Amino acid sequence: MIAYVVCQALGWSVWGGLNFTFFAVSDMGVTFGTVVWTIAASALGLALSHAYRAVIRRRRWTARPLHALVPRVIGASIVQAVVLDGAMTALARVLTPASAGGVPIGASVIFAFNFTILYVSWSTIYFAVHWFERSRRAERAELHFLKAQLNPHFLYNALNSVRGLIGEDPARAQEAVTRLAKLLRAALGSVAADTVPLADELAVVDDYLALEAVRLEHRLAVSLDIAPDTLTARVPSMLVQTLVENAIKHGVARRRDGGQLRVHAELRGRVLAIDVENTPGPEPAPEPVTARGGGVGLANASERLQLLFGVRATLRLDRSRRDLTVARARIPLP
Amino acid sequence: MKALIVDDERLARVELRRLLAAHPAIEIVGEAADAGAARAQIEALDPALIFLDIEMPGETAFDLLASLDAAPAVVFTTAFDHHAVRAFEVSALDYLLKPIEPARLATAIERVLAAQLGKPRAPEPAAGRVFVRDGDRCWFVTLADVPVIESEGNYARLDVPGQPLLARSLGYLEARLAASFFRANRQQLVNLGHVARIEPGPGGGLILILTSGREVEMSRRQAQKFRLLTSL
Repeated sequence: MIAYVVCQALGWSVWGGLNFTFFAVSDMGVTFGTVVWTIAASALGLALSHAYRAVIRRRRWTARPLHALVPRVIGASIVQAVVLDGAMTALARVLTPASAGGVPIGASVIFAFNFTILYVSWSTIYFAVHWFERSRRAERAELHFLKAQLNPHFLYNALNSVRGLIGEDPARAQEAVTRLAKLLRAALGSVAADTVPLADELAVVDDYLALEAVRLEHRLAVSLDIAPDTLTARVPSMLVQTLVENAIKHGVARRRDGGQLRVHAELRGRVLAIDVENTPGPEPAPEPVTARGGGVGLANASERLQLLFGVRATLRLDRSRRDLTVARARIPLP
Repeated sequence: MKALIVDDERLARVELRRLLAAHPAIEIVGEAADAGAARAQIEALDPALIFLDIEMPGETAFDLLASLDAAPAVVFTTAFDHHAVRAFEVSALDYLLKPIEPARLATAIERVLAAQLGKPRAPEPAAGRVFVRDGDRCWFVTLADVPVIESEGNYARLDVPGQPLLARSLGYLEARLAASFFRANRQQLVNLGHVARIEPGPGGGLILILTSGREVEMSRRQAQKFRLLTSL
């Protein structure tokens, strides 16, 4: 809305200013007549285009395909141009009664043609801005959709473990509930930023791992290896959490005797490198009961990473080693 | 009733044990953390009921059940799992969502006990139940309800609605089910409880007419054995 008002005011002022300049440098000069004519032409041009916008909005032209839009835009531009030309030619006759025969017909046709070009240009700008805003909105919506969510399976299992823990170790159960609350706040916060400093993300991961430790007990062995200079670098929120959750779900939790999980972060030049390593699950991989395969979480995380940081940011799952699965995230620093 | 708890998470077992303390009819005879240990416990302790977690490291609950010759009553326990729950709805197996509600647990136990009262345990495993899977669906089949079992490679197809496959050879089943099923020919085992009439067949064989009206041909060789068996 604000963009529309600014564009209209600026556009028609510039157009009026250009006309005025032409008069000034031409033999017609700056007279009462040319000043009035210029202001009137800009005002009427603005009014017509504003009415045109009302038509576009009421008839939902922005929803039409290009091949349906083009003839409509050209038709509407001609109609506006003819109206503007007719009014301005009439005004010119009124303003210049003494001169020889007023405005010639040929000049009037040329004006109508120029006005048509003017309104086609106006339409091009209008629809371009509209299209740009819409694609930006779609991107926001996609980012929102791709936002990592806590796996409900994890959540319910964690709640069940905590209930078991209440009778056994009330202090630990209380701590687990606090951790769960912090984790939910990070995951559910709709106002949460798209990107967070790595330090904040690692705090979320710490809560998550504490809860997985309640569930998996001695089966989960974690080591963190984080270079201090990485802590202020920004990462997509919930990215490391997703990688860690994936590593546990497909690795450690699938092994009867558990396994290792290692999170490593360092700066390599202007690139933040995060590796999440885990002992892979037993082969051949048993068919998971859920149809929710492993790939979706990682694919979404990768897409979101690139939307936020551009195509130079990458996320790959390296399964070339039998004894180790590594998820590698590479994020260029700004 | 003897019951076994199978869950890979120790705290989940602790919690279920605590909840079951309110049900004196259920006697917990053991616990297992994975399918292998559960199989050993089932053989050693012969529980009438298993509380079974679905997702476990290694084999899942379904793998475990499919490997048993005679399945005890089963109540599944699971965290939220849309697909598994849908599969159960189709086949009417009982399941409990974690964290388990005490009232819901009581209902499940009532159902199990009622089923046990209605159908006293068969004296032999031959008349027991087998667990079958077909894609997304899984259910139990009572073998006494199966009129014919047909060979299909290394598998056996049960002639009941759904036509499920069992991961057993016909030869294995013949030996296992000798008390109630008879090998009519190379391809088929016939449940003798489902035979309505017997007529002479071509070449010295027999034709068994089942209660469903279906006819099964018995080879001459098998017919001789059959006559011997039934004349006793």
